[in-house]
Amino acid sequence: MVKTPRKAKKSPAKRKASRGRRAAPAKRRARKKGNFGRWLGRLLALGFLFSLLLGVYLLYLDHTVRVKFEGKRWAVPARVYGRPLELYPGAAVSPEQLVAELQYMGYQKSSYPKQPASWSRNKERILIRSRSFNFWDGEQPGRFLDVRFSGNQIDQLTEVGGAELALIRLEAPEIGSIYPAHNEDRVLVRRSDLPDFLVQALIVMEDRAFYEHQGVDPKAIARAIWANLRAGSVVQGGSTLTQQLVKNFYLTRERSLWRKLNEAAMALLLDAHYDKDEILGAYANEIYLGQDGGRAIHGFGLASHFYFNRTLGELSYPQLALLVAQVRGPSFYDPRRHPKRAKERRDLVLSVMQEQGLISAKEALAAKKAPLGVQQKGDGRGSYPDFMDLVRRQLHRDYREEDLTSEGLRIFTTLDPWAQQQAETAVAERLTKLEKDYRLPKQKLESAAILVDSESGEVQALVGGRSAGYAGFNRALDAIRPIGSLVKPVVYLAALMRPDQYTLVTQLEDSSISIKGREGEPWVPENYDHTSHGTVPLHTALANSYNLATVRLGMALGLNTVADLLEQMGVSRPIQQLPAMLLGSISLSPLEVAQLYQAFAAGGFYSPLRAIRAVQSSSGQPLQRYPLTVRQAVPSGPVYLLNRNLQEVVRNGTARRLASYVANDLNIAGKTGTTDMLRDSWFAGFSGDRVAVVWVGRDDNKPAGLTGSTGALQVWGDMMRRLQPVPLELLRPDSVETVWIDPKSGFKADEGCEGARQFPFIAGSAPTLTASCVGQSGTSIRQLFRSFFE
Amino acid sequence: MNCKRLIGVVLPALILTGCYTPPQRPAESITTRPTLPESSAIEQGAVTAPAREPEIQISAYEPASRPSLTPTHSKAVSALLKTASQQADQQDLDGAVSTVERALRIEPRNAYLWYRLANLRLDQGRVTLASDLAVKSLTLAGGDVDLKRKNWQLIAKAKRSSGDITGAKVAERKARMLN
Repeated sequence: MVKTPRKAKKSPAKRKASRGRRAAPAKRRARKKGNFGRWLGRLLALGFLFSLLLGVYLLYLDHTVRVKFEGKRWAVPARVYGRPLELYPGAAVSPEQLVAELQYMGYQKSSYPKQPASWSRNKERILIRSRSFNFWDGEQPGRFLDVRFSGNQIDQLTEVGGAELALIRLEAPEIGSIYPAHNEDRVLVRRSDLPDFLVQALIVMEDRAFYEHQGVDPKAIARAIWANLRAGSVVQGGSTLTQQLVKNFYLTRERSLWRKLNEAAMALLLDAHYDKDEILGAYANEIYLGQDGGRAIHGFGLASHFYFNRTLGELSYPQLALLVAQVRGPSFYDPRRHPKRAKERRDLVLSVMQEQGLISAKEALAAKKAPLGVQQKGDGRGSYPDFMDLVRRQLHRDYREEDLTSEGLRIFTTLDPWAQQQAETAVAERLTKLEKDYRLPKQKLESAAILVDSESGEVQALVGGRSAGYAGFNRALDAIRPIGSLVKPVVYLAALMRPDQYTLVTQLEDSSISIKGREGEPWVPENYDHTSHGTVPLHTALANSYNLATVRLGMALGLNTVADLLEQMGVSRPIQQLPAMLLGSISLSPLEVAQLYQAFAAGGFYSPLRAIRAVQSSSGQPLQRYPLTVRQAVPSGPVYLLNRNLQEVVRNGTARRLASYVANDLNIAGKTGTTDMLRDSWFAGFSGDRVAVVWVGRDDNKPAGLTGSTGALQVWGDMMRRLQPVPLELLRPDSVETVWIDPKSGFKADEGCEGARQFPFIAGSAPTLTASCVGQSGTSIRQLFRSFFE
Repeated sequence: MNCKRLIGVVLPALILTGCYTPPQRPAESITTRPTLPESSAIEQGAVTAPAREPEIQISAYEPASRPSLTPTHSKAVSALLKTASQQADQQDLDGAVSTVERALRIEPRNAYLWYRLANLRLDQGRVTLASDLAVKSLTLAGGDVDLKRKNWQLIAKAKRSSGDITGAKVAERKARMLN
């Protein structure tokens, strides 16, 4: 269709040309000349075009170089910190915990600390030279501390050669970073942060003419070509530091002539635009120096943490030399996998430094004798994928992904590395033991555990599975499981909130019940032991987790009452109002359960669980704070009664087994939970300082073979035992009074009655009927005292 | 010092301490708190501890003893409160909030600290939060009538500025009842 008109146009032109050829043979020479001119013209035009294109291309390269260079300098992943450890006289910090904390932060043990970030221990006394640290609420300078212990707590805190200190916080331990999808991580260092030794070693090893050349060093290239020709293979590179930096701008590692030319051009441009120190600074942050699973280690700042768990400024000569050795091939010279090769290369660096007169022979010899000093992977930061998952989710409410991965934000979280360590150990060890003790299939049990500060709702530790160091399915956040009897306290609380109808001693009927479902099918719940217990006091029904009494109670209160209370206490998931919800058919994640129990522990106050305290910009400006908030969800009186009842659960009820882990006088309050066919085993409870929730079950949702008491409780007990829990001292609200009760009748009694016990009541709700035993004995001394103080 | 008052406070305190074992972390010694400063603490109208109960025998639901007025301002918390006051004086309210929160991490059940935080929030105009924090302080205040009254006054102020006049009046009445 298009061709036809073209042909029509072409034919008259052809005709004209042939006519011309025939008509003027004399013009041939002139035409030849014209031809030449035309070719020249074409060539010139082509040349012009080419140089234009080249020019445009160079401009493009120039733009690329500048954008990459400027951009790269600021693409710094957010760094995430755990909670700083507070040291003060009376703090429940054991010497072991402090030492673990110091080691975690890369502090070095010495006989007497002289350098920053070092410590020494002499029995119950620890000396620390702390690092300075920029907190969200201000800079804290490094100090020389003298900490004396008495047992498992700090007795005295002084500054060496100075006064006594009221309190001091150590730096916040770094626990990870949020790097972008292409997995590049770095810790930004300024040119002025680079130790002289490092810069000198880099230059002598990689690019001796760095300060003289224009970005490309022809002499070095010639030398390299000659060396490579002689060897018959690539043995030497002629790349300058500038070229190496340019190479790192690309994310691929292809080798081609075109790429080399591009690199050379960009190196020249880079050198023209920026001064040597700027280039060196960028190089120090950009160079690829190792691999940590999916995470690429870029720059000396991060490499220093990655290999030594120290900051760059704290490294010794041999350590710096080892970093320079990595430049040539971080995988070939990997000090963890190939320590021999790495040491040879490090010693070569040291020898060259000595040859060049940059260090003395004595220094070189001493440095060569030093061990590599590389930390095992996972010793330091970056091994809390489950907690980081929670942090990320909370951050995403306020920040875009690219802000998190490139703005160099500093994020202060609530993670307590010590508590986290104890929780991980307890989960891993207990599960293995449970599988052995109960002859369960190996490696099938899974678990999740959460530790929360009772009053503030700060998440201190979060374990998403039995192999906690590895990212994977985060059960603490994402395993949404039926909570079983963990829901019962809410049912009983709903009852206790009606003091005119229910008290702890109200008699409940624990007898079989059949409830018609929506489609007319009957629902017939049963007790765990398949028997009915007749008439039982309310507190006993909860302590022993009687299903029938609970269902009857819940039905009398109304399902919506219970559902509303759940919502009031912070459960945001929609709840299906079925009778089975009274026995825990509703499904929640362990984190949501922790939220619910936190409100119990805080005396009825709801505080949203938080993993972040503050966010700071890279320059140290506070950007956002995540403050402590509270809201009274439930009146404190009924919660107090409930919590006393939850203490009974542990003392005499379904959680009695806890006594084999933690002392009875800690007065722990808690509740076990078990679901149908033993699929889920739960325990949730709290001491005076922490709320903890543990779930044990299987990922395939097959029966795990454990009840709340034989499974989750064991992990819970083991975990809390390691954490020196504070005893739970419940504060009796003004609205609560204590009354003697005769357990047989449930009537009011006095202490003269045999077996009489005191129970807390919301004022005015205690039974008014008096048991027959009252007044039969004289006034005891105790009563006299009570009349004084009550 | 009023002699009668001193005896009135010290004597029951001494008797109480006699039959009272402080709750302890297992296998560690908690420094026994001196009994005498209790009286001075009351006079300063300062801080009271959350109720300390004798070992609770759950099976028997033994009564909670009268909350003893023990000062819990440790040196660490006092130092932080001082810092917070300085920050507040320099109009660095965010900084002061941060510092009081830090103190609360050390003594989470110190009613005075919750009250202090409520006050700072009120100054920042976050009236609902201020009122909530004061309610929290009230539940921890135990026998500290003075602190309770201050909390009710704060709640009244917060309610009034949020337009809840009825709520403010109720709170004011509660404050007056504690006079």
